[in-house]
Amino acid sequence: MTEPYVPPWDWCPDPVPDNVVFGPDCWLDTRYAFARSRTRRDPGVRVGRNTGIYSGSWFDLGPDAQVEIGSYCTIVGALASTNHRIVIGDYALISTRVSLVESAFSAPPVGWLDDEDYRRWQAHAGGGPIVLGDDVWIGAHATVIGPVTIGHGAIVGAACVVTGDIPDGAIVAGNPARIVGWADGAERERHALR
Amino acid sequence: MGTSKHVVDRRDLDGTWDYTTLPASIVLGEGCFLESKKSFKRYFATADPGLVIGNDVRVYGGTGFGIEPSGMMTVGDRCILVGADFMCAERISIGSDVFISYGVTISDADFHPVDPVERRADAIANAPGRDRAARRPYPSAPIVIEDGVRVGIGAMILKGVSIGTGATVGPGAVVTRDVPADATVIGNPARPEVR
Repeated sequence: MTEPYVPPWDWCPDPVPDNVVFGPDCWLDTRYAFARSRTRRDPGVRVGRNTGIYSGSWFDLGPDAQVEIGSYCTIVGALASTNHRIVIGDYALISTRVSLVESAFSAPPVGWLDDEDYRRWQAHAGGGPIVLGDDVWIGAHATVIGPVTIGHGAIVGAACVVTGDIPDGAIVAGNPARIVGWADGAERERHALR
Repeated sequence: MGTSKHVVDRRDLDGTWDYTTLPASIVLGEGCFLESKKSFKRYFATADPGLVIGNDVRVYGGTGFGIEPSGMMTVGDRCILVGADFMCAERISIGSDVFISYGVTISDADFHPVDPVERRADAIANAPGRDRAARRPYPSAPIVIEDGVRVGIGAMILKGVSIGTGATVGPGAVVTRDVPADATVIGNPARPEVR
């Protein structure tokens, strides 16, 4: 297992949990990002190589949660709140104050009587896994609510609320999010044919 | 491990701090979990009680009880407040079994006058080194959130709104009008959901 580079100004005294596995040359702004990770999976969080997880990022992970983050990702400020699975492909750009949550009503895994108590709430809140393809770009303040799949190369506009699947190369915006364009020419032609 | 000195007391952020250090005008029920001491740093209520929290309530670190000297707020039993910024100048009443998600703002006032001349006078009075007692009056109206309401991630609830029992506020919704019991509203401005 490789340790990520943690800058000397990180105030948080907690170690990175044992079930959080980093590839080579990653950056983690603060170990506080994992303060509310309660996942019992091993690995609970797996990160590829050369990925940066910066200071606004936060992992609220329930006992059954599993998070996989690819290589060369820039995670500026993502909240990941789930007791399901979150998958982020390679080369993802995730801006500040982005939420990736299993449902609009998911809760953090601490402060409950026990794991079962927490699982009951999450089951009641509904939702499901989140899968982001490669080369996905998510704008600031966007909210992505599971279950949802975002295709390769898609762009999610700032502050939009995503509650449905997004095809490869689509550009979406608004609340609720709608397709407003395509990120590459070929996809634009395909869209015009519909 | 890092080499920096940490100036943050870890216990203030994981719910293990001493809840009896809260201001005396906050009434706290049994079995509550208050994750972060910082949730109370903008509590300025002069009413006694200025904040009443029921039994078995969970308050997470993203929550802030921003209660002005003129404000008063109540929270019922078994509520889960994940990350609500309360901005209370008059009255915010929350029933029991209410769930409020991450990044929600609930504000019962405009906090500044609408008229530009009045607003400039307010800006001056509110500036550092000036007298906040000289601030101008601004519009406010109480907010009522009844039992069993769920407020989705990133939603905003504005002054004078009542949300009926069992209603759902969708993620990112901006609620400017009353929501009937058991209804679901989404969007900006929030409207009943059409499927």
